[in-house]
Amino acid sequence: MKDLKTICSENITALIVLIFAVVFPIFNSAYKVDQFTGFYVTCLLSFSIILIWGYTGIFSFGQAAFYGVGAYTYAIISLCSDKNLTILAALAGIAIAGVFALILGYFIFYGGVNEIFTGIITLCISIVCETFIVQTSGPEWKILGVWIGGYNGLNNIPKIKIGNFVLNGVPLYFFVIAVVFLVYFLFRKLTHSNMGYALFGVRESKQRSELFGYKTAKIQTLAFGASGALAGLGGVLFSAWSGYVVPSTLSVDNSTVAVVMVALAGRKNVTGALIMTLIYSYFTHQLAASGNVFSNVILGVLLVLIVMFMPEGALVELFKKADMLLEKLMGKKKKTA
Amino acid sequence: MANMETPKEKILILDKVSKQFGGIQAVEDFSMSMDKGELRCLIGPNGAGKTTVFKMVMGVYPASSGRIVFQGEDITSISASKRARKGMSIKMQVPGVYEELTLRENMRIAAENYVPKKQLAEEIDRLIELVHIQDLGNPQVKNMSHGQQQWLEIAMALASNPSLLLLDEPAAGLGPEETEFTAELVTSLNKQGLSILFIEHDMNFVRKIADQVTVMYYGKKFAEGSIDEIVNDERVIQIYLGNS
Repeated sequence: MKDLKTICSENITALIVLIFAVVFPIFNSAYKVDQFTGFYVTCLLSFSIILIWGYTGIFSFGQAAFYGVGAYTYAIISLCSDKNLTILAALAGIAIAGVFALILGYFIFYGGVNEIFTGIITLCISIVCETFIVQTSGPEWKILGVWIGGYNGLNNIPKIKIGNFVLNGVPLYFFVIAVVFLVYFLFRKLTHSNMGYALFGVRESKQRSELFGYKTAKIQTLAFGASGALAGLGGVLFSAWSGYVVPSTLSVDNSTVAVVMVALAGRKNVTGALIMTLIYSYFTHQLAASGNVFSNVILGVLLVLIVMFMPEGALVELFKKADMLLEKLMGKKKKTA
Repeated sequence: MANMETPKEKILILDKVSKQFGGIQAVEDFSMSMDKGELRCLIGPNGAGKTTVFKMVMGVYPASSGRIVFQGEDITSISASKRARKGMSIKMQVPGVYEELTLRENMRIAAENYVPKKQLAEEIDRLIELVHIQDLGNPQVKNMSHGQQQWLEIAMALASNPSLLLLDEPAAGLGPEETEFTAELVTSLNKQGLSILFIEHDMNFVRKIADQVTVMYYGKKFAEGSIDEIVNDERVIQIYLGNS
């Protein structure tokens, strides 16, 4: 795991992506900028999977549920009053998703549930949340006076307001990429921190870590809570960006797509997850927009091939190859065992 | 390492400890005690319950009955992580290293709970040197040999500066030179005051280093004494070699 100061393909790529993100609005239409804002928002969902699956080793199909909780909380609070409550709504969305994950995580990890059943429980959570929201079409289903709307979801959700300034269009784009890159850099920092190593230890062997004095259930619960809050942040920004939220936001499909993107990139690599989410989102959108009915089949075949031939992830393999080339070019001799 | 203290002071007491797995009685009313600074070996035929005893001491398995006392404190019902923080450490039978991570990452995980961050690199260097794997660089652990992984795990176990070190078959799968080095390492750690309890099948290794030996058979204590007493005990010879 390389730090940010090392000259390597991962860091060079991250820098290129950052420059690309910053100059993107200069060369592209408002429509494209808006489209890419959505892609960057999805990166936060992928990051939440990197934290819980890639760093902590807990396979979760429930991240979309936390994403949806964040999205619905923001929507309900920002719609419930004419007052400028969007910042409060955003914070509440993150907090409620985080607390929801924390409570769930407490019962899972302190209850000693094994890895396979954790995956099944999180899968069920997504299904339960989506099913619950779907049946809220009756007029009695109101929270803070806001009708949840069942299948139709919530529309006309206000944009985030900072003072009197409404985040929309290019300002919203820059706000989102600032959040995404801030989270990205925090991840890179975490990788070399004590907490990061504690997570890796738990991921590689929970029992061994316990014998080194780590309180593994506490570490897993906190990581699950943090990943829920991170997914919640994604949901808040999704809600504020799109202006709508529907039950499928919490669906297993949504979780699965994010898991697939992270698996394709390499689940232990946050740079890979960032880039793969952007590429995957872009191509899925392009394939769908072109009317290609086989878009999911094409992506599915691609996934199978990558899992078969590059089990560590396509981008992680590419980074490794590029680093070898880079070292050759720089005339460095690799330290070997 | 822990300082040498009065030899009579007990570091570990197992009082009628038992472990049942369903209908199988793996360990039954097993009692033993260890003085501080002692180097004791636990031997017995396969399936005698030695590793189960280690796992009960470390808290991996809760004891079905009995009491475990460490440095005067009853630790029978506390978690493995708390026991580790109280000063006991283990090298597992199958190397318990993080194979997907590098050598230094393994050391970092083992040490960071016990060593201040500023001294981490220095302490890791010292421990790696102690077990003679400093020339390897920083390979991914899965690319290290079995012996190197064993020594790395001993270095990881020492990172917490324990008072009691449990070694489950430290010489298993090692060549003669590697076994010789492991024996020297264990003896030298013990001479610095570290109490060590180890399981081993290689009797030459046991003869070379152990002060006291406890023999287990079918989950019970079978014999106990100095190494000379044990190797000359007819009953012990019989359970190892049979009537022939």
